[in-house]
Amino acid sequence: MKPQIFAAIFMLPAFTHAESWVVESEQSYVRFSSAYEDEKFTGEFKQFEAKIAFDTNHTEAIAIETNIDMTSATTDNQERDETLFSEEFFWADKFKQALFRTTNCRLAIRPHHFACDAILKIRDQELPLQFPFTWKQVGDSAELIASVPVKRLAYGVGTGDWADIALIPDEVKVDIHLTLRKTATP
Amino acid sequence: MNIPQHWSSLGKLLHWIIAFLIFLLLAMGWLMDELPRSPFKVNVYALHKSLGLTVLILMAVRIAWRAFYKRPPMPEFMPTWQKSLASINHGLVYALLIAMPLSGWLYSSASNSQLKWFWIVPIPALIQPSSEARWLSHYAHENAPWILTICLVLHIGAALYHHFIYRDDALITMLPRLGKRAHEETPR
Repeated sequence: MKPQIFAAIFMLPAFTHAESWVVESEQSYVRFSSAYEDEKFTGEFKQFEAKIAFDTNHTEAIAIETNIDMTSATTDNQERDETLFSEEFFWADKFKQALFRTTNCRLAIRPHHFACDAILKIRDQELPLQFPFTWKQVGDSAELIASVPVKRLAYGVGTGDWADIALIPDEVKVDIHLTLRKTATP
Repeated sequence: MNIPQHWSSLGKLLHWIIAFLIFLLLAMGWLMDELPRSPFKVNVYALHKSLGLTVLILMAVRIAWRAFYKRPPMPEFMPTWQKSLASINHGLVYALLIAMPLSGWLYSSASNSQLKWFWIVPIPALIQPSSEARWLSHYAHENAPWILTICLVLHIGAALYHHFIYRDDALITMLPRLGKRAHEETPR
């Protein structure tokens, strides 16, 4: 066999091994935590879609992509929610979705831990992000848990007088918990 | 129990401090929703709530005080029906000065807003967040001021009428006694 063909067989795209997973919405959430004048509050994005390709043995084939509906945010306080939807924060009318996708994933040292380079787009800002997470799988079920700090000012969330970090800290903690079910392998 | 001829210093102090706070609160209540969304607006609301809670505290003091100290008599020449109307108006104002801060507190609680008295003392929520309670308490808090304003216009109007037209002591008994104690020269 010619060396080139021989080599090509071994370079078949690794994602043919990756399994496709869907989110079980009842038990999954994407939440965010911040504070206003030291009063902590938590919010949740009730609507989001995620496409997950995962392979424990081929971490380069891992791909996570999510669309988050910014208009689905709720912090259980109507005034605060309306402020979040406004132009100075999410500008949800104009930028309905936040987009997240991983570009390069690898195993981390601890068991069940992975780390990815990723890109997060909020409003019109697209910035790189580190995305460490844990993956615990039992048969066809899995749990993906991540807690990621997002710097709101870089994305233009909370501008003008709201940019004051004495009022609202720059770092917003985003907590992700996805309960997943394996679908047919592509 | 002694029936005093005029209000005591504490009675007057409570009256005028509360009157001043009501004036501020009504003005804020009228204007503050028009403010553009901003940290400043958040602070104005926080001040409004703090001043409102202060009125509630002062009203509690006032009611407790009134349980022990009778008010001075109304001018003698007033017919009984007039005295009754005045008492009803005063009672209504007292009731509204309790209902207003309470409805505001309920509204804040039902809205799941964090409440701190003058940015320092955390105030517990009266009820769990609820959109129904929120609507009801907001309705009460937004509309009761109209009744309060009418009562106050009648109250202030009557006080001025007594002072300038009847020329009796009604208003004087509530004013600080500065300089000559004129009304002491006309013992009842």
